[in-house]
Amino acid sequence: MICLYCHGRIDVELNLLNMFSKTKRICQSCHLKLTGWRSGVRCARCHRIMHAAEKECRDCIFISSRFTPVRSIRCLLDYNSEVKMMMHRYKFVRDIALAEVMAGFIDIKEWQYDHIVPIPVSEHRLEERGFNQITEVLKRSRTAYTELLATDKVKLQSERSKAERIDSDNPFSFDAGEKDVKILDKRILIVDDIYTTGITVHHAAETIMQRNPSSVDVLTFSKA
Amino acid sequence: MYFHSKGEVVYKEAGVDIIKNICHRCHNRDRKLFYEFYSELDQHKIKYCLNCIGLGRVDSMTPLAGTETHRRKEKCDYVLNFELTDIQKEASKKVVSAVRERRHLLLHAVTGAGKTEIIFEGIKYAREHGLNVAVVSPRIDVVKEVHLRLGDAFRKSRIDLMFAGVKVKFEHHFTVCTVHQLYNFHDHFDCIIVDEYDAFPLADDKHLLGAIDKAKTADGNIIIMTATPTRKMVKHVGVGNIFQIARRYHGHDLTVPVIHYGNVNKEVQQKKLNGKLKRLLDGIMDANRRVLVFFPEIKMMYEAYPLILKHFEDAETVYSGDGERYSKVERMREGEIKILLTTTILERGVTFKDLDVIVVHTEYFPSDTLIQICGRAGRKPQDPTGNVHFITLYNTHHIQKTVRTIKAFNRGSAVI
Repeated sequence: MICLYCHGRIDVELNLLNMFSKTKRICQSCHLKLTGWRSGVRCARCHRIMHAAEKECRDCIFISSRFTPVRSIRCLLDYNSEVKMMMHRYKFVRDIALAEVMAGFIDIKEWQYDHIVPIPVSEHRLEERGFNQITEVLKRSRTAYTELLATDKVKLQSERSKAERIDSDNPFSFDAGEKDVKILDKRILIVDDIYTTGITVHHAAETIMQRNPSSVDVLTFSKA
Repeated sequence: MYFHSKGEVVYKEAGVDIIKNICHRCHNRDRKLFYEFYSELDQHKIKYCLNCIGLGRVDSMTPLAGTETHRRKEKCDYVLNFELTDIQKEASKKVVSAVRERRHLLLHAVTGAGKTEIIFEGIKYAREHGLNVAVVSPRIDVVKEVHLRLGDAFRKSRIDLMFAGVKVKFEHHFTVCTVHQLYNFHDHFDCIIVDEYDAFPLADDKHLLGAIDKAKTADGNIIIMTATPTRKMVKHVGVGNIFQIARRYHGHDLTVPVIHYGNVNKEVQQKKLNGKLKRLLDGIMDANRRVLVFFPEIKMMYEAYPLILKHFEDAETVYSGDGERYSKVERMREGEIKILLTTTILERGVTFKDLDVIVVHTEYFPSDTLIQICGRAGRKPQDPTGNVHFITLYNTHHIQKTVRTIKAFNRGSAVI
C-alpha cells in the first residue's frame, strides 16, 4: 500500500485494534501535515483567523447582513500550506486519488440529515476538469448525497476579487432532475470544498431556504 | 522530443497503457504507482500515473504529445572574473574532451573545489557545435544556485530554468532543471551534467535515474559531479573515465574533524545542555563566528532548541518542511543568526563565511553525509579552514571512513 499523498510506502502492523478498521490511505507524517491548524484567534462560527483588533468576524457580520445565516459551519481541515497544495493538485492537476485522502477525513453523521447536498459544478467546468470535486469525495466516503442544485457559473470563485464575489447574483437554481424531492421541514447539509468568504455556500443556502427546510448546515473540506 | 500539453506531434495515442501498466512519460511500470477510477463524464475507466503527477497528469485517455527536438549552433561566450587554478583547467579540458568524444565522465571533486566553473568550457564547446545541454541536480537549492552562476557567466545565452512551479522556457538548447523535469524529455539532450548525483532523492529512485538515460540521446554523454561517489557510479561511467580533484580552489587543506565523546540527547532529556557542546558554542561565539549544528532527527533538534536558546540568543532551527527555510538561510548569511540548528538538508549547497560545524550524535550519520557536512567549513578564501567538531556516543566505521577520506584528499588522492 502506498500513501496517496507522498507516494511513499505505508507499513501498517496489523493488530487487534486496527484489524477491523478501514485501511488508511495516507501515511502518519502526511496525516500530521494535513491536519495541522495555523495558530491565531479564530471566529467561533466560520473559523476564520481574525486580526488582533477584530472583536467580531467581519465576514460573518457581512454574511448576516445579506443572507439568512446557516445554522452551523464545520470545516474538516485548515487551509494550511499543505492543504493548499493538495487542493491545487486535486482540482487543477486533476490528481483524483486525493479524493480518497479527503474522504478519509469525512465524518458526516448521516442520520442527522435528510439530504446531503453538494455544491454543483457548471457543465463547462465539469468538461474541463473531468469530475465534480465534491461528489467524488462523497462517493469515496460512501456518503449518500442528493444533487438538488444546478449552476451556470463560468468563472471560478478563486478568479474573482472579493468585491466581485459580493456583487454577483445567486448563480444557483433549484434542480432536482426527475426526482421528486421534498425540502419542506427537512434537515439539509450543504457540502463545499473550500470556505473562503462564505458567499458560495450562502447563495446555495438561499436557494434551498426558499423551500423552507427545518435547518441548513454547512460542511467544507477546508477553511481558507 | 519535449513533451507538453500543446505539442503538435503525437508521441503515443495514450500516455498510460491501461493494460500493460506503463507510463510512457516516466517509464513507470510499478502497478502500485497507478490510480484507476471510473469517469462518469467519459463513461469509462481512466488510469493515470502517480509517479510523475507533479509534472501534470498523464492518463490513458489523453494522447502524449510534444515538440520534436531541434538543434542549433550558437555563438556562446562566457565571462569569468577570475582565473581557474591549474587543476581546474585540467578538469575543464577533461570535460571538453568528454563532450567531444561523447564519453561519460565522473568528476570526483572535494567539496568547495569550484565544480561549477569547471563545466563552463564544456558547455561552450557543446553549444557552439549545436549540442543540447542540460545541467541538472536532484536538489532545488542547487538548481537555483547553478542557474544564478551560469546566468552570470553566459550572459547572452538563453537558459531555460525549470523546477517545481517555476518555468522559464526557450528552445531547450541549454536547460537548467531538477532531475524530475527530465521526465518531459525523450531522446533530447546530447550532454547531461548532473550535479550532486548522490543527493536525495536521486540516489535510490530508479525511475529518476532512468529519466536521465531517457532524456539523453543514444550517443549522448553524462557528466557526473560529486564529492562522494559510489561504486555504482564508477560502474556507470567506466573505470577509465574518472577525474579527481583533491584540492579546493583556494588550495588549502580540507578541515579534519575533531572527535568528542558525549551523549547530548540523554542530557537533553534531563533538561540539561551537554557541557562539551556548550563549551564549543561558547568558544565559537567568543571568536565571533557562525555555526551550523547538525542533528540526526527533527525531534531531537526541537528538544535541544530551548536549552540552547537559554544560553545563546541568536539561535534558529531549520528542517526540510520549514516554510521559512530560505529566509532563515539568508538571515544566517547576513549574520543575524549565529547558531543554526539543522537536519541534513543543509549538508550541501550552502556557503557561509566564518563558519564552524558541529555534528551531534555523529554515530547516526553515514560517511557520505559527513564528508559533505565537513565540506561546509572553510569554503571562502578569507577563512580557508574553519573547525569541524563531531560529538558522538561511540566511534563508528563511518566516522573513521570520513576522517580517512578527508586525510587522503589532503595528501592528494582518494580511493573510491
